[in-house]
Amino acid sequence: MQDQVQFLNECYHLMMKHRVIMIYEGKFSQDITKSVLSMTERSFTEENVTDAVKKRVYNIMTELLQNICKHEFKDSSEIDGMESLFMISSTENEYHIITGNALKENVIDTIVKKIKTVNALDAEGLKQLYKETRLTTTISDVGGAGLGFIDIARKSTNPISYHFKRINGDIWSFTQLVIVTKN
Amino acid sequence: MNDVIYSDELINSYVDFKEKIDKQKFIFSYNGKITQAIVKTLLNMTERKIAILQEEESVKKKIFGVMINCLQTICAEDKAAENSANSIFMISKNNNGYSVFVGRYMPKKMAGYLAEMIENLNGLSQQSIKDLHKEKLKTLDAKDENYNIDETTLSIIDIAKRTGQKINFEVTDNENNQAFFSIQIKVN
Repeated sequence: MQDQVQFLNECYHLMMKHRVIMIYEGKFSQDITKSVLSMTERSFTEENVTDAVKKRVYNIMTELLQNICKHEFKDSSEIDGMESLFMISSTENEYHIITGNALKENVIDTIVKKIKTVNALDAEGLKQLYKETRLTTTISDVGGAGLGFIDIARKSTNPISYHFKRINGDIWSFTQLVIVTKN
Repeated sequence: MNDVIYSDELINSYVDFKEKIDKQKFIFSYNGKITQAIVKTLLNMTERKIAILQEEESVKKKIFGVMINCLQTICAEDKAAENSANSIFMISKNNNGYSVFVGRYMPKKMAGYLAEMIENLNGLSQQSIKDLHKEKLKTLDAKDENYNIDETTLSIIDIAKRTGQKINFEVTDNENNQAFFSIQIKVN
């Protein structure tokens, strides 16, 4: 029992080390997404950053959270009980926005390719790609137009980091990190 | 295909952290100043989460009571203002029910007082806790110079009364006469 309290202290120090403001783990409904956004907005009142930066963080969060909502597995037994995750940390010069969710192995190559493509482009290149994709793409079954990573990269202006780990069979956990510079 | 694919070391450090907290089945964790606006949002978020988990009304009521006590008194902004450190709030759920964790830095003297008080409280019967709660409620005086400590004491007694569970705590000494005081409350 006491171990769990000690664990809280460890967590506190880990959260302080990573300067984590908030972590949410579990199902992402539209209501939860609203609460997470509202929580971040309220914790921003303590942060000394411009409205433009806050807006970029907010837009990226919205995009990432909507993606989790859209792609979340409906049956948790399929993913071994793995929960989706949202985390935001505020370092001296950057915001780190981290999301995690389960996905099937067959989409990994496509995601890595998309991230590598946007990471290799500058602002003008991303703008062009955004325009082209918007004109040529169709809306997918889950409501996405394939603009997600391009939009995130344009707003973040930093490379998107990714991490995939096999959980069970063809089920993987996918973690992504998006950085927003404060100045 | 390798079982792990990643782009850089920074994301690895976050994944390590995520795997540590995964083991405790955290639902939500917040680290920062606890303002009234934050308390409202935290309660709102917990309400939405509990709705998803389709929890019984009595459990929901207990969790809310514990959260309000923890957030408004133990972690309250005016008390935390004595130092620059933030408060931490976490809620987790496993097969045995929910656990609410709170912790913050406070003067060593106050942490020592609260630790002693919880130790005594853990040794009391439910009836004695109820009696103590009534007595403290009568004597609480907002004008008293020890009002902050008395209010926190009352909150902890109220938590013990609501949950009927022993309260786990830990005090970790730190520099500058401050100690990290944390408690874990089980609700089932």
